[in-house]
Amino acid sequence: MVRFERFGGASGVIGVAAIAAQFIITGTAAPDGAAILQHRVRWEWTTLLRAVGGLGLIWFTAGLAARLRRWESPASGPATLVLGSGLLWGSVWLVSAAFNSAAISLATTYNGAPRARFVAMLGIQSVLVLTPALTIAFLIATGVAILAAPTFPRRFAYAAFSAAIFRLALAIVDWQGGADLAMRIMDFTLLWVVVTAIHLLGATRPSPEFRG
Amino acid sequence: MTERALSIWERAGTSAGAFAALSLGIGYAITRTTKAPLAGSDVDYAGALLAERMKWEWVTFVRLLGGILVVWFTSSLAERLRAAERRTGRLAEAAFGLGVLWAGVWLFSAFFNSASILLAADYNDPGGARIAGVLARETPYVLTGSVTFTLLLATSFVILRSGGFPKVYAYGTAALTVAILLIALVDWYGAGRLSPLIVALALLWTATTSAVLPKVDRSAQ
Repeated sequence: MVRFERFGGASGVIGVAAIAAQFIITGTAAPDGAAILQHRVRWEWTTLLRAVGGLGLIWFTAGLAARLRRWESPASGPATLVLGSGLLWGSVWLVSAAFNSAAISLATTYNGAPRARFVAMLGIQSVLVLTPALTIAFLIATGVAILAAPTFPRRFAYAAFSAAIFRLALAIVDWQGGADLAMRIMDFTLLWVVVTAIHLLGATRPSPEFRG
Repeated sequence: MTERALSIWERAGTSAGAFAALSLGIGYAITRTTKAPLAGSDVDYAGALLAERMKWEWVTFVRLLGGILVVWFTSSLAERLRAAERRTGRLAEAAFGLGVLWAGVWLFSAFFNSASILLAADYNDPGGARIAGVLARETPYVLTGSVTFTLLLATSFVILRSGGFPKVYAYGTAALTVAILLIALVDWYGAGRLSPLIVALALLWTATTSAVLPKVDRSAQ
């Protein structure tokens, strides 16, 4: 079990590294067909890194859910929500990779350069629009599960609640149109995944026994 | 603190289905008041969309909220089904996976709706905005039938074998499973536009299950 959790932690770090790298390589602007043709290799790398990122997040979620369900405790309810929202979040990155790949194919193979930008835009916006909602649910459920069974230090639960509230505030401002904060939400989320992954890798261990 | 937090969590989890149905229903109520013509020209659609932008932003919001609530409800339902199945929990896992998938359908519908607004407002792409609008509308209509049929099938198998669920609810779920399959087949064959009816039935079942879950007799399972 511990090895599986550690593997989840390592996958989380790899997933975040892949996602951060694709943002560094291509940013958040949707390219037109000409830009894709000019920098095709960059966009091919973006597809690969988004797929690796999505799969890394799915493994990370499985490791985190395994830690939260360690004793088959009453906390398994919130842990199931963590698993569900994490799987969806990882899947969103995979779909984003598929949109990106389709944009490259439209520009290079299918003579559809005018539509390539539209599909590339779906690729980048899918993760920016869906990340806040999914990760807020993920964080709240994680906090409740930790309060129910000592799988992580208690302060980590309060940190998860605070992060969820902060992200909710940012998401509401972003949705209402006050400012474009989607990337800030993404940054904080990726940072939180790294911190949790470090916990899973062994920075903290759950209490040796728990009587629910 | 722990027990109280979990008790609140459990109650909220079972209520999440009713709130999901309400949230998604509000989304459809808002779209009925909008004028953006999906069947019209690209420019007409984008113009009408931007004129009533805030309404469409609300549609995005309620679908995002509804999708998240569906995940929450599904995790609560899966826990009850797992308890009813006792050792294996295989059908509960299948129901959980399908519920998560259905939530994904609503989240992607919300995303396509958001993309439609963005394409019209920031990308000056009325054609793209209309395609995204069609995707936002059709994604739940096309996928709800098959996903909820399988979800209800897995749920029916568990609750018909378990003694803890009310009989009326168990037989009603089994009957609805068959009904959704038949309606989906008629809809697919093209004899009528029945996908909104399938979505309405699926939301009604979600709200009903939400009301039934707290009444499940765990000692009889």
